[in-house]
Amino acid sequence: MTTPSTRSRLLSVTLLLLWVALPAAAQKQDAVSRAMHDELSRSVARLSLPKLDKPYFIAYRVDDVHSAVISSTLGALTNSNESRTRLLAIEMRVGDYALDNTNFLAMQSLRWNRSGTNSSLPLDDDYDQLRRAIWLATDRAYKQAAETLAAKRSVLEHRQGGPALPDFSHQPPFKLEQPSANIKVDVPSLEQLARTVSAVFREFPNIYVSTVDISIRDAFTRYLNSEGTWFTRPSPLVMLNVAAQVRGPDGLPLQDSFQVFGENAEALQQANLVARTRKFAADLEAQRTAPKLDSYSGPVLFQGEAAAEVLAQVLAPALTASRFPITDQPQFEAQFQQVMSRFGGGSLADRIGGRVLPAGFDLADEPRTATLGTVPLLGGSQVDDDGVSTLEVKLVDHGILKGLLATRVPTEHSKLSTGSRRQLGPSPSNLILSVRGGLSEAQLKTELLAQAKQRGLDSALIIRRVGPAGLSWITKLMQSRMSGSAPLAAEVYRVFPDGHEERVRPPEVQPMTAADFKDVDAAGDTPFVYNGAYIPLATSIFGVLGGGGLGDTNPSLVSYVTPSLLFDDVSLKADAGPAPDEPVAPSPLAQSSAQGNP
Amino acid sequence: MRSRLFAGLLCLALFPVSLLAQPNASEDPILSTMSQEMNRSLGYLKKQPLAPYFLSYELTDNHAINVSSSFGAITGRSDRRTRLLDIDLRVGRYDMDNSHAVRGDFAMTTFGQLAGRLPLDDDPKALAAALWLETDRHYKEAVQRLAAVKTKNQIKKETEDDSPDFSSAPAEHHFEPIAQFSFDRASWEQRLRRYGVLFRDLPDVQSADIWASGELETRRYINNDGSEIRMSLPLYRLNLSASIKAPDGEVLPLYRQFMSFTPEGLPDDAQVLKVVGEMKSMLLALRQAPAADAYTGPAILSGRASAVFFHEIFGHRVEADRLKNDDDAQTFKKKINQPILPPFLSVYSDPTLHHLQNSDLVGYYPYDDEGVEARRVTVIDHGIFRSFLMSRSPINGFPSSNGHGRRQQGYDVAARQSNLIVESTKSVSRDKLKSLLIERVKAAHKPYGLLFDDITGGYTFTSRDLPNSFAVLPTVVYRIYPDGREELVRGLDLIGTPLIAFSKISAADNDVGIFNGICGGESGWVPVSAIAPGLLIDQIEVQRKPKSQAQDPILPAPGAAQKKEN
Repeated sequence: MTTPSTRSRLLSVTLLLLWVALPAAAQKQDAVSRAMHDELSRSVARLSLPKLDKPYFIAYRVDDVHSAVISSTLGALTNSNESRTRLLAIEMRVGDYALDNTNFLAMQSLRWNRSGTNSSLPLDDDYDQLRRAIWLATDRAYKQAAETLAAKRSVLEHRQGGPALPDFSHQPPFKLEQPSANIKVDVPSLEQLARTVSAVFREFPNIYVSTVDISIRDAFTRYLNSEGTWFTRPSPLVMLNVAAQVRGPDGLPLQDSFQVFGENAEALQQANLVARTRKFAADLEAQRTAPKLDSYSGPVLFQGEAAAEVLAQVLAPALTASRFPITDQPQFEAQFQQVMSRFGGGSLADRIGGRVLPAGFDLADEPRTATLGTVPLLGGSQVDDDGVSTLEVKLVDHGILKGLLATRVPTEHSKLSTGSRRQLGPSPSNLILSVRGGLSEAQLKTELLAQAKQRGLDSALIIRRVGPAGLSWITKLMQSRMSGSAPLAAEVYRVFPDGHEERVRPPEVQPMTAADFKDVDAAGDTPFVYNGAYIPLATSIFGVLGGGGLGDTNPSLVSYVTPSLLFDDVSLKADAGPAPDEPVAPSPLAQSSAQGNP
Repeated sequence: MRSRLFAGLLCLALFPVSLLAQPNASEDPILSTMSQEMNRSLGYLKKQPLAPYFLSYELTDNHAINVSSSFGAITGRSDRRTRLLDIDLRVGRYDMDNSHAVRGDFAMTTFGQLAGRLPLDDDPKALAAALWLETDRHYKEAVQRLAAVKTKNQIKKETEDDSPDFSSAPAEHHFEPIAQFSFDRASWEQRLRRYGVLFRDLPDVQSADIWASGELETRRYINNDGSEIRMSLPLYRLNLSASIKAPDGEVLPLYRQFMSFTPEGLPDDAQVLKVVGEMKSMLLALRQAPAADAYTGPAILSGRASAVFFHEIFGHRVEADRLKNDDDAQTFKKKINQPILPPFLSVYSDPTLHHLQNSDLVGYYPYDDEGVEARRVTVIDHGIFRSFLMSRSPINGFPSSNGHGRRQQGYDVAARQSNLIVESTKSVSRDKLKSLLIERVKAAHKPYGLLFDDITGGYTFTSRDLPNSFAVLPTVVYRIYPDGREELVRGLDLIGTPLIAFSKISAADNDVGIFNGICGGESGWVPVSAIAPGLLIDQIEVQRKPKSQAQDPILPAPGAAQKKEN
């Protein structure tokens, strides 16, 4: 018979043995790697407090980030900030795989597992000071974790049943050493690019707010855990965001933006940005005077980029497995889940084995696919943020949902990790929707008009780009919070039975849900690649708070791939918000070629 | 830093910028653009039913370079430029405008509101576009705010102070060249590494953080009364902080802060190494020092400690804007022309004072953030209270500004301190002050008196809904025994209430201390100085410092473990 104390001794021995098996490379590497190794080794062997649970899993993640953020408007810089940071995140789990300090949220004391909290490390490769900082952060993480587990046990004692699922899944050690990308962070040249691109807006005096933001990050991650996993991984990312606002004749602000992503600054230099920005600005001005459409309900063809935006905002968040943490307020758990589901925020977890897409549709997450034809996919990685080797995950096969993207936090429907932890929770990497027997764009348009006719409509809608507008409940909320008003879909065309198109200023698209995808009527035959952020479901945000795992400050980019999609019933309704007053004085830009004063 | 001076012979030096060759304001394209856009926007706004009666732009360019370290390892470095715009746009009249305070209406104040962000490049078109939008936004907010003020005034009880909301001020023209600025970050990184590493061998050392910075701030101010001002001033800083743990777990900090308007004004290598050595010795001594208990009795505040004491318990209570707030305790409101200090003490606020002997005074400025020329204000004249520090927001009896309207960029202006100077006409030597203390100790049958030699800062409550008390946080305190013996103690905070504390000051020495610091208040963080002689206070009260609940780390420090294992 094994007593608890014998068990914990055995556990320590096992951990030590695992530790010995760590790659020799880590041990002879740079000061940061050595400090991580040495402090982890010591903590695994000796970190404990009498009468409290011991750590059974410790992970360190150190991110070296060289970054710059540059902003410009009308050809002049408004911000340029270059920085270097070195951040440590610690995942500290005490107890055991079955029951540990995570998946717990104490509402009354606002206590949750914050092991992913980042702390700063010295920028100098000073072994002694790195060790010191890691030692103190580990000590804090352990005390907090032990305290959290004690609180969790106390809550569980007063609940019926107790947790049915283990808190953490087992995983074999994984080793990968990738070199730093070491991309050039040439701030003066990026400043000049921002000035040049933003100066385009001087030609468009009706655009009263315009910004060009460039961010470049050369991030290098070192990860080490007590199971013997060790990886180093670069995450270079360059992003350019162009945003602008005009007012319609009725005073209503119209805003639009576009982004360009790449893995180095050359991606921006090659993106023909001046011409693209000029077209973007001209389109926005055209949008200003386009005829207004009051409301619409009927078939909508989301073409190219717009189809990918629907996939990203509406379907993708429902494909991840999240788990609501145990709280000390069971009523809150139940009410929160109900409220979230009512807003269409539920995942597809209970639809596994059922139809979620039409029969000819497949959907897979492919983190190891680097390109689609010649187009690079930017979401991939060989290892996820839990240190789990990534693999292709077939999510939907012939329209049937096969599984969800999962981390090492087991859920009712996903017991094992699919290698999908990115940042704080599960996320797709390169999400690829493929369709057998897709139609050409011309055939899709014909199909759209046929459906409109069936509905007795004199025209139908094609959306070519959604832009800053939100399509799901949560993205709508986020966008309106950020911009102060609900942005409208950027490029919407009314198409008439003779095939001619007319650009319109549309009302707001009503929130769509993942269930809408089951009724996609048709799809195109040409895949479109769109890069964007992943925005999780509101329900999974609480899962993240409780779920442990390491915080990642690197922005996570997902490549979404899909052909055009024809939905049979989408509603657009006017948002009756009051339009703000026009500025009292006209823009000085508009006046610069005319008279100076009124 | 203490400079030994007779208080009566304070060497007051005016900053010589006004004597430098004056470049012309029209040579500054930024000022020209600001002026053009102000006139253009006002041309339209004046035609509105509710036209602005006052408009000012303050544009602040800041270039800040920092480097920070912990135990000699660099932990952060930055080099950042910002340009911020503050707009004061007023609709209504001087006696009541959109800035009018409404009782209980906290949300209506712009508390820490972000200033508009402007192009860093000197591009007239981009700058004009940003000024246009920000002016329009402020105009619309001001119109809404004035409507709210008028409504609320009908339903709320009037405040005790019925003075106007704003005062007029003469148009000013002042134009400084852009100051020279040079901060060698690479060299400072090497220096910080060298200094910080010296703390590593201290037993039970908890922290050793050193940072250095240089920043150049250039302010451009215009208003529709015709003022046009450009000021440019660098500030260089070196901060050392270290702490050690006493056997009972109390963490004992020590700080040294240096500020100067020139890079040469900061201590050189030898001086910093000396300071590091002194800090280490003091930390070791503090670690061994006994923890003191609560005590009431006579005490000496050294010059630096007195300076902080006056800044906290007196200075904040003469900043006039608070007197408009009926929730403020208004300690000195009814004390005009009444004695509140002993007759040998006078107090001035003098923002025109650039340096005192070898120390720059960071509370210096030639014009305040409302375009009003800075001037020396006699606050207390031989013990008699004479004046408050005024912004352009009048209070009863004080209708105009005396050049103390200050703010951190992005905040609303309020009356704030600048260089607060306490002068004594009856000073004794430091030794004599100590013997006077011993006399008081004996007379009061106390076992000892206290000497507060160094102080880190303090805080004070000035509202009516809290006890009107202060706390000054000393780092170095000695017991002075009747036989003259001095014993270092730890773990005390100086507490009290202002009027009682003032009434107990009985003597001053000639050992003037200077404290430069950054002071936080309603209008953000502003640099200030306080200068005072050592003071004997017949009765003070001290309490034990709050004790940290944090446990020691479970494992020994990595280095310590290594040594032990070896």
